[in-house]
Amino acid sequence: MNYDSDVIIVGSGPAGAAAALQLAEKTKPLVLDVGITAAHKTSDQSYLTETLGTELQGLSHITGQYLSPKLRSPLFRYVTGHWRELSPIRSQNFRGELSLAMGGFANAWGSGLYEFDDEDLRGFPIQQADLQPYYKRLTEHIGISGGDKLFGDSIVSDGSLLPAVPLSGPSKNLYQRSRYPRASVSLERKGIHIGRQRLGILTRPHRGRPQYVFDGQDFFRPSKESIYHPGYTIRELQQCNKIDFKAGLLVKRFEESAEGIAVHAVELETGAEEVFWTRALLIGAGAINTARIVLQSFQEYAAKLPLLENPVSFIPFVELSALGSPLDRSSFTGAQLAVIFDGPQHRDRVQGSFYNLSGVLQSDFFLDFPLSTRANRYCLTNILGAMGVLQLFYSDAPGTAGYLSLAPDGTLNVHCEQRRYGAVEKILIKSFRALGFWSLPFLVRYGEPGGSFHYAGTLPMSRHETMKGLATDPMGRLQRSRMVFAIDASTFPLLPAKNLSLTIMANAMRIAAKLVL
Amino acid sequence: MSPKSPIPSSDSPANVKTSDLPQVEVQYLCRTIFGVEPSSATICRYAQFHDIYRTSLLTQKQIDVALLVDRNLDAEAIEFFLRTRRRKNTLTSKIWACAYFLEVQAVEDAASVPGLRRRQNNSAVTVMLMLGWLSLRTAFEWVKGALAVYRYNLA
Repeated sequence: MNYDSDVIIVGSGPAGAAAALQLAEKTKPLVLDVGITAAHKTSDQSYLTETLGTELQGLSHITGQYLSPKLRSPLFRYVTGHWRELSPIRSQNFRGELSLAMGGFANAWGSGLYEFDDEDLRGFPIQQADLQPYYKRLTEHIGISGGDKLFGDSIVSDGSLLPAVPLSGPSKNLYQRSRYPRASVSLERKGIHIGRQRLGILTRPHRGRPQYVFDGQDFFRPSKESIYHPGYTIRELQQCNKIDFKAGLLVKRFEESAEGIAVHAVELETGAEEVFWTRALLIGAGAINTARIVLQSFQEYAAKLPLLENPVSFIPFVELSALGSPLDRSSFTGAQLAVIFDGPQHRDRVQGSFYNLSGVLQSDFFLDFPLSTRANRYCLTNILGAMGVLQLFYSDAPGTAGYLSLAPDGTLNVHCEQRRYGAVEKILIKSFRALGFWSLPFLVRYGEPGGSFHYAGTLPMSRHETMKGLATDPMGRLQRSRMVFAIDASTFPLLPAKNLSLTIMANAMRIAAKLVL
Repeated sequence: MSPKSPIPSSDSPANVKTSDLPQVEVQYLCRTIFGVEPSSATICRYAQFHDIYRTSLLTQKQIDVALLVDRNLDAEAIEFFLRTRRRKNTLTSKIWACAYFLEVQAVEDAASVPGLRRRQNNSAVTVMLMLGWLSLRTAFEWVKGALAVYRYNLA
């Protein structure tokens, strides 16, 4: 049998890129991907083109559905482009997005990169020690900046982190005040920990990629090489001739036989079907699209798979003493601080990211103040500089809140529910008040169903055969299959509140490393 | 605060109702609400916004902005009252779009005139006092808006 490659990887996001990085040590894998890339050059753009777009795409939320400022931004549109036509979803309430871009959703990510510790991996058939070597290698490969030891991880102590991104504005003040001895003891007692974010952002040159330049344009301009995304790894491996990469292909299904695995893909330009043969197939198309490929391959139209996502809430804070300060446009506009809550008021740890509001257009908040337009304009120029938003992520476990199934026409029926908590928000509001940051419970906003973009758990890892063989074993192998593996977050049986990207990558490397051809 | 200055009609015949033209609308909204003269680029962008989002604007509560312009009504008061009733209405959407265009205009102006964008810090106390006053003013605007909406049957 002539194989196109010993191993085929589907997808070039965090899972696909990390698996390719690992496999390139022993074979030359073939990566199949839709691989949409940025349509425009990212230099020489006018401010209008970057922020609103020549076709005013950045204003779509005024008359249509809400979309986060980054994904609405014209130069980031490619990240979520075409998924509705190519990966259709039918849903009453799903407000999420998928990505078919080269490098996946990570093209527009907040670049938070954290290890899962054993508490996070509770319910997984693997432990932190299984992932440890891959966390270490990825930290070196990506270049991760950060500082505090907030979690039970190892990369702080071994000195492999780059210096943390400099703090500015409200984030700086919040961090400094949380370090005062009395405040720090009080926060610890309540189970609140405030520390520096761990980010895939280069605070000094690293492996040929330049140091990050702070210009306040992170929400509008992609492809800065100093912010990592997996597309760089794919490109690097391709340049070294360690992988074959074919873009413009949408993988639909696979067939496994004694001869090997036939991977059926549609060439998007011509609409023709292409078949690729391989010994082993690693699917890293994202939790939702990986499930779609698996269900299509087994023609499973009755199965209902779980769908996990991190419920999200947003708490706006105002630092009263900083009212009247202008926005600092020369700082990092992503999340500068990590906030952890592990008090008894909630069953699992809750993780948050604290953002200054200097990154987006002021007009995004124009209607968020409950006053008339002139008063709101005053608020924009005099309050935004003193404001920060704490975005909280909650953990998720299989239940009735989220599930998906495949319709015979290839459309996925997706069900998601909005979940509102509130107890943790109240504690944080009260605790932050002591640090000079004010908010009120009625100002808390909750993310829409699917709006976290962190999807997982559709083909969960288990030591036992479950879900009629549609789950995976601890090596990510589909229980119904011999050499087909799911390598992305679809294999997570639970979804901790912690950012999952680094663990997706480490787990994909673990599966790839143990692959016996 | 109600708009006092009439819209100049130099670019159109005096007796023709021009207020339904996006160009006239944007000039009116920018002057009366933002106190800023829109640049020619802003006027073009507003017209473009009308063209691109024409269909989706039709799905919102329709407010006769032309009537506001023709009768020189207080757009700020009317918009605030309408927003408290139904946020998705065409007047709020158009004003929001103006806010974006004027923000871009400010950056473009700052790029051509160095130092224009620099702003003095206000003290926290000044801001808090100002917010108190603006809250009172907002309450007044709401009443004024409600009266105008019912008088001119705008909603």
